[in-house]
Amino acid sequence: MTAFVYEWERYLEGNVQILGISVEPPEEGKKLLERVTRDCQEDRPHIPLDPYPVRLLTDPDATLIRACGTENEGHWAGTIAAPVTFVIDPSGQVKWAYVSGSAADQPSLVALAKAASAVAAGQLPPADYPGK
Amino acid sequence: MAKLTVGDFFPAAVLRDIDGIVVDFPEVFKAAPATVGSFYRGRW
Repeated sequence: MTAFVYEWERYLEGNVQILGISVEPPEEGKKLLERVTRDCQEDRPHIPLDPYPVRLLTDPDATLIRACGTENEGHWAGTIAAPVTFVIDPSGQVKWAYVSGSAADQPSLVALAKAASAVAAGQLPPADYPGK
Repeated sequence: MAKLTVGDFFPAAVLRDIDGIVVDFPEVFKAAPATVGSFYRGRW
């Protein structure tokens, strides 16, 4: 998802909010935010990350993670979130989903952006950019 | 395999962001015409 953080402005308009959810405590989320921002300033200084495009949420007991069925109970670090990306409309209904096979398996930025832009416009995600 | 899939509604829950601000699900989705929700293990 780092690539998504770097490139989000190329793909998404400002009317799409992005939430990142994990079991990590707030201090780890802040370290992540600082690390990605620092690396981006070094590597791609033309990209502003202020404000940071992803609102990081902490779910330390995996309450929402389990309620969504996105838990990974067998990880050596304990219960963590499995990598899953949703596009959701204002009523809370899932309109597009990508269930990754691993942390390295991420949705295409183009497919994700097309799905999110369509939902933001009150339309269905395009059928030629399906989730997984 | 995620239990939540296309057509399902997000369950209710109350989380906090890393600044300690309360985030109410599914109320938070009303803040934008579309939301990308990404579950991650951390350190991506």
